[in-house]
Amino acid sequence: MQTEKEPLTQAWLCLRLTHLSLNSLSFEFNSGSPIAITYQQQVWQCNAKALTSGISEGMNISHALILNPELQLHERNAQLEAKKLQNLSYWAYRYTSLVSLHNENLLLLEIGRSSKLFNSLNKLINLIKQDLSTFKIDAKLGLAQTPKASIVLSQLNHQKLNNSYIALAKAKIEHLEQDYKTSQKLHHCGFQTLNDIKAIPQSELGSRFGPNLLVYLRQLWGDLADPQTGITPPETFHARADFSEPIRNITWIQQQFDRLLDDLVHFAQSRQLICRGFRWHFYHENNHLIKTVYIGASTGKNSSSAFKELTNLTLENTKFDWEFSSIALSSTHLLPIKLFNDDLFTPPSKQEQLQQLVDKLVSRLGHSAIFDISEKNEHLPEFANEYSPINREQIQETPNHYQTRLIDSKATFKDEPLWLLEKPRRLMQHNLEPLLEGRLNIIHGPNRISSHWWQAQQSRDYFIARQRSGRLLWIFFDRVNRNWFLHGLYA
Amino acid sequence: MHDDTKNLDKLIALFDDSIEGKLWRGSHAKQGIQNNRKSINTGYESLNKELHGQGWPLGTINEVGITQNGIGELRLLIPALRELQNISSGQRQIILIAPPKQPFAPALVKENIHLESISIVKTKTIKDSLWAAEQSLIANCCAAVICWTGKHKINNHDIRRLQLASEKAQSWSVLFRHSRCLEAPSASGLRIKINCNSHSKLEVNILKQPQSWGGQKCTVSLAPHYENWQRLSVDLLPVHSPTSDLVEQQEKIYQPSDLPTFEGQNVARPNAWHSSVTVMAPLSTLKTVH
Repeated sequence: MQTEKEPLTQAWLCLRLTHLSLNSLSFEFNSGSPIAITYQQQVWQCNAKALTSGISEGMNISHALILNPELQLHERNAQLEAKKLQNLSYWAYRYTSLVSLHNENLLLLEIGRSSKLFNSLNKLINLIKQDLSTFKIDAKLGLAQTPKASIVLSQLNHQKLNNSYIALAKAKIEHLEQDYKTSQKLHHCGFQTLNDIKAIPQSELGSRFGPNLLVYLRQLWGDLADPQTGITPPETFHARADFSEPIRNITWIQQQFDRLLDDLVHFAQSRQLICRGFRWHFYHENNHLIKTVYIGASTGKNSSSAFKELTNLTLENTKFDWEFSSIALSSTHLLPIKLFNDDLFTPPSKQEQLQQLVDKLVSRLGHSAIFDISEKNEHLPEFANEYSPINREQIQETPNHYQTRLIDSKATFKDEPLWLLEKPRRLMQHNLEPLLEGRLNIIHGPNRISSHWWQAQQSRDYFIARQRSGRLLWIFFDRVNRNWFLHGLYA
Repeated sequence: MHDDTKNLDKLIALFDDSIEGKLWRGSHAKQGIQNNRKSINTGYESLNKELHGQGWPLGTINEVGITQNGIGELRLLIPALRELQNISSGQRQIILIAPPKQPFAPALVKENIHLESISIVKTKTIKDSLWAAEQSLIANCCAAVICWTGKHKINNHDIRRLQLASEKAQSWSVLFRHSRCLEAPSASGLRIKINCNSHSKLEVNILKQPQSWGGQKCTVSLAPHYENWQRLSVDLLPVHSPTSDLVEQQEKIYQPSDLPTFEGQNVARPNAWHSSVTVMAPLSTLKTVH
């Protein structure tokens, strides 16, 4: 089966992240307390201490708890795992240019081409191992000359390239990435290791087991090419401008700001990306970072004038009492442009301008200055009002015919006022009657709201009262504390 | 004299494009010639009659002077806000800048105002509020911009800037100030003072109007109409007996005599006891209880 091979300069390293679920939730395999990750009511992964109590993967949760009552259970978070895997793939990019994600927990790196840069493969592997231990990620490594072989060898944690064929020959059938049926069949035929399969001529194997196994084996031995798609890390933009003398005043270097922003816009446009936020960095003479200012942009267009205006607005508010010698503009928040369909007949909405307006307001007044209000289904009025900082991604205007109003016929409150005091104000009392700039004339009520018996009983009788001046107030009598409070104004 | 008026007419005709409705002549107002200025129906008949253009004028600042927060100024604006939201084309965003208290969401929902198109901007200084108002007007993407400045003195320069910005945009802009601030002159188009009388009706005093004379007065009664309601009878108010114990649910609070009581049985009260007495009688017939 082994034909005359030209010397392969490829070296594939497979990182098998054995305990990704544990690691993604920041638990180590060898940590102190027994921990198990659960998925669909079964134990998915567990750490060393749990293993010693006899817990294994696939076991029922209750069974595991009987074996070890101190077991800590955590739900598996697949999204976190995927994110962790992606971050690791970006990290691996510094060692090689071809990184490929194979499975949920396998990373394939082609490090043959980087061996010269790192002087030797062993050094490179040691560096990788060091990094993995600082990340506290448990992984098994496998080094071979083809991707599939490295995957198989990673199960055995084999890291020497020269002996890879020998080790491969000793690999058992279970380690091959074949489905259960095929591996059972292979066992029935009496094969135990890869060596045994090697001895059989290919045509016989093909007729018995089908072409898939053949292709797999050929790729494993290197007879068939096995191209892997590499990942591409996200685009980032960095640009820097240095000055000959330290600057104190931003206005002197306004041109440089504009020039850098123009570069950013040009970069984004040429790659069909939208910039969603960028950072300005200010450096001392000795390249020491002084300050970073983040500016977010939620517009759908890369407009350099808008970015310039936002920059000016934000930097106006920051004090510059230090000198800086260079500035840098960086953006990691670059997303591909989303094209959306516009209706030919309805006029274009003012969404774009509204987003720009919100951007401007946020950059000068701060993110917490702009709010949306919404209604919550609560009995107590102070909880029924929800203030949330404005969600910039979702500023949309839905056309009229898409909106459905939910008119609740059983309104929780009767006679709500338009203004609500955030905290009800205690009123002065005279003969147990409320006073606010004179006697109050109670004209409507009572309306009792009794709630939160599970926390602190709130029992209130709400009334509408009129002041001497004619102003209408929403007051309540707190039956728990026996006090009158002002809660709202009929604006 | 005839020549003079003809010359004056010629002079005005020269500038017709640039003036474009900013100049009005007394004779026109007398003859009932109306400039087509956009306006929104206020929702109140008596107020509509007094305003030229039959509604709140768009494209100019509407200054409203209030003596106290909460006398009904927002209720006055609500019918117009509702109408603005129902216009299907164009912008529907309403921006509230520096409101003195929190708007209560269920109340707005009850008035049929869409909560999604309302944004609230909280500012720390008066300068920030004015800047935010100006930016919202310049952006020309909001249906209404409502700003509260309270007792702060705003110089005419800033008001003039706002007025210019509002002329270019076609949003409805309202500026709430304290009544005392309205004594100084300002460049806004519409200036009104509102005051609440002791029967909770709103007295509106129009100081200045675009396109015509000011000085009109009217009274507006706001919904919901509480003006005719009288003081509750005392037995409906919470009786302050110190022995009532909430935990044991023995409520001695309301004891109208008509509820039947059985011997040896705790009187069970339903938890949500609604009782309201509304005496819809004109005030003159009843003794005023204050």
